[in-house]
Amino acid sequence: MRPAGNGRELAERIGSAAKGGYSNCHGLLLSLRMGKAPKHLEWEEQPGGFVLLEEHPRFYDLYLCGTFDQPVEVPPREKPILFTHIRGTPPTLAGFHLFRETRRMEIDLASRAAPLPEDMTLAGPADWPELIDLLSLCLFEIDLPSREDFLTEGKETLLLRRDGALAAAITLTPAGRQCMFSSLGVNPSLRNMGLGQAVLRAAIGRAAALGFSRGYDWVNCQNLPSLALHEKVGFHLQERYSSQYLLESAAEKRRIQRNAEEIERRNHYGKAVGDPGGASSGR
Amino acid sequence: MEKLLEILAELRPDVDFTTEKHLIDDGILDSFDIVTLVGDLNDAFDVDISAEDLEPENMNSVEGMMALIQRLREE
Repeated sequence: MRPAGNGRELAERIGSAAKGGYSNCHGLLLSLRMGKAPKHLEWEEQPGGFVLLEEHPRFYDLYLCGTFDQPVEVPPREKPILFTHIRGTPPTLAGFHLFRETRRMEIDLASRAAPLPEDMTLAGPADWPELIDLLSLCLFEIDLPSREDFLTEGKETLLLRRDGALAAAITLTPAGRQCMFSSLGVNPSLRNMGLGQAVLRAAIGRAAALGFSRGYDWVNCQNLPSLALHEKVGFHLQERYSSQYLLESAAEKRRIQRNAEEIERRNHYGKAVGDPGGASSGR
Repeated sequence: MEKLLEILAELRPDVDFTTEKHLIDDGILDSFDIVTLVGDLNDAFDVDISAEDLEPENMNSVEGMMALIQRLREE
């Protein structure tokens, strides 16, 4: 893979080479053409199109642009690789598996402005260790924010404490004129007590007070309690969905391989011990 | 133009597309919006907006999008 270098030149190469095929990198192409290449972007040309990887603290985003008649090969790295598919038929990705399907949920924030409830605070840098401990109990590893994400200017994280300990949290991220809600987490031992609803309502009030007209969240379709919670506080399901495919990290692949070998070894041992004919035939 | 405005209003009811001229430059449309929009425009206007056509000036305003669609329909 090569570093992106001059974003505009790369965009021209991709644009002229990948006509009439699949693309999940429309936004990325526009950014490249505006001279706003992501900091950590690599690319390579494969038979049928361009493969681009954007490195984030916990994972890589995979972008594809081309016709890709053959399966796309991306070797595992030390972090998982995530491919987000939005529309059309995606190319075949060697080694990836469907991770989840998400639906976009939106809420109109007009007239929803509210001050932060008294039992909630805005997180500061000192809250990071406690926040990441809480979120580690609630989110997939790939969804965990990095410290760098957490400290990004413009982002806000609301914290709800119970008896001094962090019980629930949610993050607000400006996305143009919209506000994206993410990293909603409730301590598993304090679930079904209305805390998720309390932080989500507070986040809505806060986002509206900050001047955003619309809010959204991407919700895992299999997470029925989360879908119900969002609907309860006023979110509406949108037609837009995304399917996310994952290639495990190289370390995870090695762990899976070791487990498979261990199971194979045990099966073989069990067979040898449990089957006298088999055991004696080798002697 | 009406059909285009309908598609855009459905995509982002919070944006006044008749006045916005910097939809991409100002980050009003995000990458999900753009992927969805390109697919919707291809279906609705029977065109094929390719990676080559994704220039900010083609997507920054309703006028830019309409000009792109007309050009592609004439090709």
